[in-house]
Amino acid sequence: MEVDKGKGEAEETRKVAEADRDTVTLKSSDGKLFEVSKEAAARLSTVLAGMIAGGSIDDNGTDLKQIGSEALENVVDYCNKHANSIPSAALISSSISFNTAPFKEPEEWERKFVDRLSHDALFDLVEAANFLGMERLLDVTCHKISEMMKGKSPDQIREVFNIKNDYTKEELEEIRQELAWAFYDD
Amino acid sequence: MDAPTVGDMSATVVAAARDWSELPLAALASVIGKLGALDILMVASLVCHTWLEAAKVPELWRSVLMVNPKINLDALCAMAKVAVDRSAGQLKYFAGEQFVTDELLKYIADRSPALKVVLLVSCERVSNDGFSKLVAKCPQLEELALAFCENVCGRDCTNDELAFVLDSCPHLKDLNLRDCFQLVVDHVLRARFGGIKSMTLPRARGLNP
Repeated sequence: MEVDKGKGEAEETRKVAEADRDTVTLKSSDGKLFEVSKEAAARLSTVLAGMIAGGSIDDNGTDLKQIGSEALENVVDYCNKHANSIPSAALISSSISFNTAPFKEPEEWERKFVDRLSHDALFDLVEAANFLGMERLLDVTCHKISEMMKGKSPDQIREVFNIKNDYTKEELEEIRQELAWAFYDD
Repeated sequence: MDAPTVGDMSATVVAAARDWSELPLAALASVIGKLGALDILMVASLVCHTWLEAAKVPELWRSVLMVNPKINLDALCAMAKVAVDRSAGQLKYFAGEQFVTDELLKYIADRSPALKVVLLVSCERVSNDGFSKLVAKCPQLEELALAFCENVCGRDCTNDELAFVLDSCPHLKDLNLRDCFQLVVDHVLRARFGGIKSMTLPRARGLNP
């Protein structure tokens, strides 16, 4: 069967146009543009899903003024590379995912994905995942952070996470008493 | 290219490092929620004011599992009460080892209308009376498990007592009373097992399929 060349080209053009519509362009706070699979974005982020459904996606780059380029690159990387193996954000319990949510242990690649991040990058990614309503990514990043906290005292945690101790001695004593932890060490 | 001075470098480092008390509360609560109840109470709450605020978000306390053989039993009891208070009525799942008392069960039952699952392990301080009161106050319970709780439904648990549990909690789906050696699973008792999907009784006289 002979294929009409002109028709073939038209087909190509249509395919390209279709491929264009399969992605969403996101713009970081510092003006960098990132392409992300529309399907993956809608599936992994409740906020992007809402924007896509509501037609508030800008072809020239949807402004995400709250997210820096490094964090957005990680978000997009997470979506594009691994979209197929991640459960839909809608499937994971909405609101904030606490310890009652059915947390699935991070997959090997997810572990590697967060392990390579610096503390600052991890912080920015948690913030971005929280902002975009990406439950699974938030779960995985928070899991990583909780591992970093394990076995540490409040002092050590403050040091690792660059937190100032804003408690007075009296306040600390008050909290200890509220919890009634007489630590009967002896 | 000019090399930065030591002073400049340290300034840059400080400026670049994020202050983790500045995460949005919801994100911070997600982070802290990955810790166990005792770590939230004894460590995360003491880091700074913002972390304490996040550690008080009620959703964090829907599930409370307390197991620590190194902490005084009364201190654990006190902390369990704080956990119940922080849950603001949202507690769904409670598991405790050793420290639980009748009084704590009453405290939980009075404040936890959403309670669905209770697991007690080696809680010698819980009596049949305390347990019965919990069961009577929490008809929405779906899962109950007692292991090595000598004074509850222990070796003396009778058919009547089990019937009381079954009648009190019509939503019960999972019941584990593996230490109740006195139970005789007869037709009368079996007829009450209607809604239960999983039941563990002492092996010797257990429910044969």
